[in-house]
Amino acid sequence: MDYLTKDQIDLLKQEIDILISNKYQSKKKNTVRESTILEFEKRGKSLESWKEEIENLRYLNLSLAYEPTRVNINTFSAWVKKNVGENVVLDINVDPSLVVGAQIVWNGKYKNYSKSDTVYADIQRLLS
Amino acid sequence: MTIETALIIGLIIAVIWLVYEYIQVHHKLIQKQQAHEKSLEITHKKSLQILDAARDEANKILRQARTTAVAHREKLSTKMDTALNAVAEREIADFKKALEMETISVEKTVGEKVAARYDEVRREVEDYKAKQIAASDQKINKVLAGILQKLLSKTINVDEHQKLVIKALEEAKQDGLFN
Repeated sequence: MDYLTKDQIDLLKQEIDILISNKYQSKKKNTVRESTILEFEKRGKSLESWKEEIENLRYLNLSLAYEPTRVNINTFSAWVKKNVGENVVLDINVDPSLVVGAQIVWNGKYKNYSKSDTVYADIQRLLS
Repeated sequence: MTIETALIIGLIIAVIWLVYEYIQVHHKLIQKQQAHEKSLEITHKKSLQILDAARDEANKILRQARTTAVAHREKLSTKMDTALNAVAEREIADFKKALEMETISVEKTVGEKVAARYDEVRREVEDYKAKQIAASDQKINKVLAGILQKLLSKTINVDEHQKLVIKALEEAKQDGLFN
């Protein structure tokens, strides 16, 4: 199963908003929309329930030194859901200057577990 | 000849004598008057002469006085001019001297100030230059460091990255970040 990231959740939320706003229009004009709505509702929840669930999600900001693969994202998301919370979604940024590791922002708190500072200091020492 | 005739003759003689005497007195009076008039004329002439002489003398004295005054004034003027010129020359010389001294002093002061300002500006320029070079070096170092960091992140394979990210999450958990 692929876990969604914040960017994908944002797109999904936009899509649900559009579907909700078009839900009561004529079926003739909205055949595609109708099928999508049905897809959502087949999962046992109404569009409004999905929207509410999305609005209740919490986001963990994870800055990485590299562009993660889908496998990486799934691994990190699984870890986060297990150790932080089921309703937690990753908000991933890429910053190569971090070198390795990650910077994490959760609940307004920031921690740097990358090697950016030490590597930067080493490089500066070498350059000076 | 009768007494009457004699009386008439005597009367005629008396009248003639009286006329003669009158004429004599009259003549004397005229002479006296003429003499008086002549005397008056002489006196008048003399007076006029005296007055003329006095006037001439006065004019002469006045002319002399004027001449003397003019000469004196010219002399005085010359003396005053000379004195004033001397004073003016001395004053000018003093002023020139003072001005020269003041100018030298001002030149010296200005020179010192210019030299001091020049040194100050030179130091400022050198400081600015040094700061700019240092800032430039810093910027170059920063850019280089950034490039090296990014390159370094590329040299690590994805699996290694993943392991280190999971390690970071574990550390965060241990630090209580998720509590």
